[in-house]
Amino acid sequence: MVSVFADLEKMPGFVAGKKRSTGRNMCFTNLANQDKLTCLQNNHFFASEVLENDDSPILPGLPDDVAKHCLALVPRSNVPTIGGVCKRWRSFIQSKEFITVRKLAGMVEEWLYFLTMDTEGEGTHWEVMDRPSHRCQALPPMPGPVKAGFGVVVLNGKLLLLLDIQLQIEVPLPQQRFTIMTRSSTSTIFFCALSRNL
Amino acid sequence: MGSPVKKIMLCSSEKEIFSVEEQVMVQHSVIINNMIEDGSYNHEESKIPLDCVDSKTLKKVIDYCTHHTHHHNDNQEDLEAWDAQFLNVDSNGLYDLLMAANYLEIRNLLDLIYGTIKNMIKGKKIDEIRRIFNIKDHGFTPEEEEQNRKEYPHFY
Repeated sequence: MVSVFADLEKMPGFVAGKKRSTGRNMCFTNLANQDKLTCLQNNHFFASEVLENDDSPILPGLPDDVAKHCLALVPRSNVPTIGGVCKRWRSFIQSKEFITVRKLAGMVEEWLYFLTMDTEGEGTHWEVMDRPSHRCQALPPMPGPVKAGFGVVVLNGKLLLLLDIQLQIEVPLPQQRFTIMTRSSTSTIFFCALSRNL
Repeated sequence: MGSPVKKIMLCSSEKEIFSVEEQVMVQHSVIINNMIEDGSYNHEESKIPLDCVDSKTLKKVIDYCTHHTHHHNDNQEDLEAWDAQFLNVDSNGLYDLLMAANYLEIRNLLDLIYGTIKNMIKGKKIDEIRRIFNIKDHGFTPEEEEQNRKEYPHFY
């Protein structure tokens, strides 16, 4: 078996977004109502800059908290796609808040993670089965040499591997890259874990 | 003869008054149910002001609650067909309904609208989603956008 989606880590939904600052009310705070329009005009450049970068609504026409709930209801398998819609959506689905909102909305999807042998026994890779749609996707390769003797646990929708006691790898969503928390080494093993959290 | 049907008055943002069967609203709206239960609504003189709900939306909300009260025994298919017809509105109309259902805490209407919006996203391509939700400024640089399109053409 070959990693079909080996480049999933680079999916549009998961490219790290830039940290953004909010300046929504900065120029308005001390002004009386009648001055607001003038201020807006005078600061046209500033205002449009803010709109473009920070304050564009997630769904034009809806308050963000309601819009976030809408996005959280979308099946997890659609998450990579919606990350490419716009920067606001991307930064939301990459945030911890996304997982929280999904939990609050009662979105539970079973995802089965399993480690499998590649063709001709050369190395291994992780795959994840999206239980609602019964589709399998390969996870991007784990960093470093082949690992053995690890423990695995699913926490808050993340697959957490504990390798050789010292090496910990974290996978926040299947399409995301593995994150090494601490480092170590060595050979092959099979294991699987069931995610019920997200 | 049974006692006359109890009515309550709802007042839209345009100050238009709608008279509705109390039972209809109590059954569907958590907020109105609470107002009736705790006695803060006086049947002789109270109107419930709904300053953030316009007349057009309020009328739709009342239609929904009335239909679902009187037709709750209909078969599921008929109800779903009615709901689909009911939500056959433009996105602004849908958002207005969503905000009204949110404000009045009408759970089944909220779930219905959220489900509709979810289905407007689910399984769609990025270009389609942008068009449906009128997202004109995606915030990506032309280079980022081009790169994404090149690497993941099946998403667009």
